[in-house]
This record gives sequence, structure tokens and C-alpha cells, in this order.
Amino acid sequence: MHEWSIADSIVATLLQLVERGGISQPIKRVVIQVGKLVQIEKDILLFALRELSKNTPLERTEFVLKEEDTVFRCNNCGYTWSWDDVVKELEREIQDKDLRKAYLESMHMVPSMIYAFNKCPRCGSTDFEIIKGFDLSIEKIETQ
Amino acid sequence: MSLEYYRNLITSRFRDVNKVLMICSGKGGVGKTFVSTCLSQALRDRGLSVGLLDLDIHGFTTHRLLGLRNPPKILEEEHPVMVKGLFYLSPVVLVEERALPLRGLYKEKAVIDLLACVKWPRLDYLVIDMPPGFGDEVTIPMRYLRHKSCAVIVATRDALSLSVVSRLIEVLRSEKLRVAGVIFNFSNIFKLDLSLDVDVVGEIPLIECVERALSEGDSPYERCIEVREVFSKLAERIIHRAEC
Ligand SMILES: Nc1ncnc2c1ncn2[C@@H]1O[C@H](COP(=O)(O)OP(=O)(O)OP(=O)(O)O)[C@@H](O)[C@H]1O
Ligand SMILES: [Mg+2]
Ligand SMILES: [Zn+2]
Repeated sequence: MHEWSIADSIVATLLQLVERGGISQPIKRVVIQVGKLVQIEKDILLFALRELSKNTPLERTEFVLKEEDTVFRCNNCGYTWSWDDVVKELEREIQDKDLRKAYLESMHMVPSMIYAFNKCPRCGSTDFEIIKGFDLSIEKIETQ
Repeated sequence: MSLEYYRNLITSRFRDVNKVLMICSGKGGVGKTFVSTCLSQALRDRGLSVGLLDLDIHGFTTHRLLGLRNPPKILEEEHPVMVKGLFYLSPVVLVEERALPLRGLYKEKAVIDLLACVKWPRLDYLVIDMPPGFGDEVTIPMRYLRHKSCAVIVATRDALSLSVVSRLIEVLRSEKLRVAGVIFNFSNIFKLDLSLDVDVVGEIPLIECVERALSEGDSPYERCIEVREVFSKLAERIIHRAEC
């Protein structure tokens, strides 16, 4: 769970943008996109963003979180699959609940670690692409 | 996320770290991991507070050289794990002994996230074990941690070494990373007189006990008095030089 540290860096980065004159008008809305793979606790992240913005030029900024499915495509056979398939497969493969939780936590902290736990459901290759929902990104910054 | 975002995040993660020692080499198999782990333990034995970060994403082995038979499997609340009196993070904590077939963007992002995922406590030294060369695992930490880092180069005195080490030094210089010096490993076997443009921190002979310790799952530093003696001296010299 590192929602607070993520929020802290998002706020710091936006404030730097404002201070350095990259944005002259007040920021009205910030849209953040996050892939399912990152397993963000959305409520916590939003709460943290609001708390950390208090008494700053971001006080009135609205933060919007958009969750995006994570989609994989095999470079070997072309098959595509999504985050839910990964979770189901993990449940099948690893019976120990605590261990499964630990692996999911690993992917939350370092999303690339998915490459240790996932392979193409059709051909078994680990040479796959994450074509959508890999990361967290700021999709839009809207001013007045 | 942007460069600034990660700069903010990584800076705050390393805020309480006094000095980062990046253990690098031109070639593979010259003893980086051996040096990283033994040096960490020797610095710890001087009463210093020490962290060890394994950034060799494909070939992580620090847990073997530390003699960890059951490495911790979970990161508690964004803190590095504590093993043998060291604050520790390695891919082994995240994925155990599974393979990590990462390439391109995913590898780059893995390095960034490994730097960003835990808050290091107050540390005198954070030692980073690098893979050979100067790919993502080396250039990314340099990008974010240059101002508090020092490179320690591990090399052997053999005919192929010179040009490879020179290229590494060239990159470190152009990135303005301070270089504490070079440690020549297997010094009783490789004896070529190399003239490099950096100070020599010390030499390590091949120590027979090391392989025996490893094959029985033990830490060479703990098992072999000769290893402790060599690294006690090296640690002292590193402490002097890392203040450069
Ligand atoms: N001075 C030494 N005496 C005895 N054994 C050593 C010594 N230095 C290194 N070794 C052993 O040699 C092997 C290679 O060393 P090590 O793994 O540290 O190299 P490396 O540079 O980290 O390799 P890589 O580039 O693959 O990461 C290891 O088994 C290590 O324990
Ligand atoms: Mg190594
Ligand atoms: Zn496939």
C-alpha cells in the first residue's frame, strides 16, 4: 500500500509545475489514469490527494481517478488477455492465500514483476506486451 | 508518470540515506556481488547503519552470498526487510527465485519502481549491487541519485579488462558520478599491470573458502576469516574515499 507516497509525489509535481510557471491559471481538474495491475486503493489515493492539497494552490483542484483494465498481448501467438484472467490463474495456481497476497502486493509495488507470475494462457510464452493499463499516469490537467 | 514525478518520489525515498555506493564493473563475473555483500557486512560490523539493494534484475544473487536460506517474501508497509543487520531489498523478496524475463520499457520501469518502492531509513551507506555494464540498472540510479553516490568499480587485471573498464569509467565520468576507485579481484591469478585513470582501493585474492561456504548455503563473510580480514581493510578505505 503506497497510495500516500504516490499522492505525495503527484501533489509535489503539480505544485512544481505551478511554481515554475508551467501553468499560469489555477488547476481546475486533474485526471489520473491507473491500470488495474497497479491495484490502487482508489479511495485512499483520492483522500490522500485531497489532504495533501490543503493549504496549497491545489486546494480547489478536483482529482478524478479513472481505472483502466490491463490488457496483455502475446508477441509469440497474438493471443490477448486481461487482468482478471491473471488473477484467476493465480488463484488456481497458488493455493496459499497469504502467498498469493504477497505476490499481488509485489505487483502493486513493482508492476513489472507481473513478468514473473504471468504467461500467455494459450502458448505459455512470457514474451508478451502490456498494451493497456500498465501504469499510473496523469491523463489531463484542466485549467479554468 | 513524468521524470519529475519519479524524481520527487525517489528523492523522498532516499532522503535519509547519507551515501550510495554503486558497485559496478565492465565485465560480468568479476566479483561485484561478492564485493557488495561482503562490503555491506564489513561496514555493518563497524557499527554503521547499512542498506543493500540488489538491482541485478535478471541475475539477483545477493541473498545467496548473504547465506539467506529463506529470504523474506513480503515487503511490510513500504519498508525494506531486515536481514542479518542489514536493510535489504532484492527482487528475491518480490518474486522469490522465479525468472524475470523483462525487456525494454518493462525493465526500465522495474528499475525505477525498485528505487521508488521502499523508504530507506537513516543509513550511513546504501550499497547497490549492479549487473555488469551500464544499462538501465546503472544509468537510472545515476539519474536520480548522482548527487549522493559514488561508484566502486570491480575488475580483474587481465588482457580484456582494460578496454571494458575504460569504457565504464568514461560513462561514469560523463555522467559526473564520483568514482571511489577500483578493486582488483582474483589478484593472485590475474596480474597484468593495467594503468587506469582511477585510484586502486584494494586487491582481493581468490579465497578458497568462499566456494565451500556457498556450496553449503553459508555466507562467505561469516564462514571465512580471510574474507572478513580483507573486507575490514577495504571498508576502511572505502569510508575514506567515498567522502570524495
Ligand atoms: N575473491 C574471491 N575468492 C573466491 N571466490 C570469489 C571471489 N570473488 C568472487 N568469487 C566467486 O566468484 C563467483 C562470481 O562472483 P560474483 O557473483 O560476485 O561476480 P559478479 O561480478 O557479481 O557476476 P555477475 O556479473 O554475473 O553479476 C561467485 O561464486 C563468487 O562467490
Ligand atoms: Mg553479480
Ligand atoms: Zn501466446
